[in-house]
Amino acid sequence: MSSGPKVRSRVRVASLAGWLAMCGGLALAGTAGRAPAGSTQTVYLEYREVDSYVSGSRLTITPRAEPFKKEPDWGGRKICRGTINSAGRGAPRPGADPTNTINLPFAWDYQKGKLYLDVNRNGDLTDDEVYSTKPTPGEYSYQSFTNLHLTFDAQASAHRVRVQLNLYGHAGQNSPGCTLMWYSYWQGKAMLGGRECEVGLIENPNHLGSTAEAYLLLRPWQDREKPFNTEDGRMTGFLYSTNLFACGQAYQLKCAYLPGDTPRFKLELAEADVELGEVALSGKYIERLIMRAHQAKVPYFVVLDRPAATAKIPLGTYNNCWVTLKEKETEAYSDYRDWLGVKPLTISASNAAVLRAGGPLTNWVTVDNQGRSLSFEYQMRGDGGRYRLIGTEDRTKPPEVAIYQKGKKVGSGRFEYG
Amino acid sequence: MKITATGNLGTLGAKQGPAIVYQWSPPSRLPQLLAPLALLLLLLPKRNRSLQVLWIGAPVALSLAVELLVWAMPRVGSSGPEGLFGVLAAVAFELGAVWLLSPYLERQGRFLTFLGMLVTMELVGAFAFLVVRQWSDGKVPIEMLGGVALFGLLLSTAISLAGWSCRGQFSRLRLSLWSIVWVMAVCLAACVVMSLAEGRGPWLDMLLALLVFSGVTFALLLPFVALSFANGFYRQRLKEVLRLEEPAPAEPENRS
Repeated sequence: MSSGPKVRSRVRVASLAGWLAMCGGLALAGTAGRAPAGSTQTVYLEYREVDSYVSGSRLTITPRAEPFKKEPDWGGRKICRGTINSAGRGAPRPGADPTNTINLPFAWDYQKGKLYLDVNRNGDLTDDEVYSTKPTPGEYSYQSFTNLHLTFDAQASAHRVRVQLNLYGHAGQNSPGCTLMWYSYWQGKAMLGGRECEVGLIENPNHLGSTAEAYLLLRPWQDREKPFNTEDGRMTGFLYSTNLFACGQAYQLKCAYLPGDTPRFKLELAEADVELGEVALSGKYIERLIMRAHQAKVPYFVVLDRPAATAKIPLGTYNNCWVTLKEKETEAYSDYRDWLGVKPLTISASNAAVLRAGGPLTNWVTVDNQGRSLSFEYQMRGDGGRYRLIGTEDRTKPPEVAIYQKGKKVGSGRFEYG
Repeated sequence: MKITATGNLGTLGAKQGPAIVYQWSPPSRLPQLLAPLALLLLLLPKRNRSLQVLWIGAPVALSLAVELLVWAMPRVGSSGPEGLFGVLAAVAFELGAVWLLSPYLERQGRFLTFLGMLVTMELVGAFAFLVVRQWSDGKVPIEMLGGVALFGLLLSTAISLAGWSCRGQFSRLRLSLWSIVWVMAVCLAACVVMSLAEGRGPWLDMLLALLVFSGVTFALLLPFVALSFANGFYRQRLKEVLRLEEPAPAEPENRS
């Protein structure tokens, strides 16, 4: 047992050294607290479709009572009509740029499992493609329309994306709900710190052809075929930022959409000069650490992959921190319930700051006195807060609790999920 | 006591967590007795100084026992809304209070009698609920007090309207049937108001909700009505507060 961590530690140091060397870490060490400015790299991001979804969002819908200008013969069946407004929470802001909303009229014949989308927005549902799925019997319908290639807005420059729409609602009620699953992103290859990386852009459905609210994908090029999504906790993709610090180097990002027969994005990564400070990481097994500065000359989005016990990052005060852990095949990520409670961390040139994050993880239980009963809550704790395992949990084997009084077991049980 | 959690953390940590020390002594049961003590205080008024009046303990205890049993059923208590048991227990006490104070609630007009019943139910129900809530260390949501108020309104309305519908004549069957009718009617009215406020669900679900709601409301009332049917002392009180009379016996035929 005692030799395990040492051996592992040496392996980690070796791999870290290699990683740093490849990512320009040696250059970083030689510049004593500055990441120098340098060349600009241009990467063209090409459209790519994948078989597993990369992000999902809820769509807001405005139900519509009156029929469209031209509709198929419904045969007396009740249907749902409406307009898909936008993705995410809430209604679109009044006066918002119309290109930033989806505004896609539709009719859903749930009894037949058919979806009519007025893609050309002419009020005629008979001149657009019809999507079909297996109808679901009963009072409540949940139907998935897969492999749709849609243009989400009617602009000439708009491009098509591969998506899945999940519609649900009660029979006879014209108030359906809808979720959207995204099966495409924009992919390119960049050399960051001498290493081949996959960089990508996952657009926000409300802002196609833009980086607004988009996710930036960053991972080693050799991992490019691995499935990922923005919700799996691995943080392969994170919010797009024009100021990125990754692989020990600061970058200024510019990204522009280039419409045409083969649309693509032009991503420019200009190496930037930035003053660095030291941060010490208290925990182990950190696979990726993402920090976002909110007070700095230039607020950077910092991505550290497999960092050592200390790392150098741009000066500033950081109030957001996300962590993923990996040790052999087990992966975990910092619990989103603790994201808002992060104590701001200031990185200065003079003193090394300590960031509490990382493993190992500990099975923990909190007790809440509720009058005559006690409520137990299971927590998976690591440095800096709670964590969750990545991947599918085996819910047949939930965590257990045991209660002892004077050395004698007086109670035990399994925790319930939820 | 010491508490430990175990769970599979893979290679990121040990399966067995550290022992967490927690000092706990259960709180006093005294607050739990406040509502029954309050009911006992209602035995002090002059017209309640009778052994017969103690029968009120039967429907109150029966209601609480049934509620406890139902609550202890698997997937009932754990899946019910937080604080619902407190609401139902409070209703048992508020009905008990009305039955005990009925001689003092009787007024010239039916409406004034109804108002007296309503105020009594709301005050006693709120007191009993808040005591239960306090005992639960505030975990019972205060919003459930609205449920106590609603049951008080529904039950006092249904009882008053059932008495009015009997046209002054006491009959067990007639009073029972009118009670069912008015309980369903007031529950329907409550469902309609809630639907208007929060939107309508599927018809079948709404019908089922109405039946369950009416059933629970009537089940809360039933032990008290049954007491009045079975016990002459409480039957007389019910008749007085609802202004009911025994039907006049048929006159014997004149054999000349």
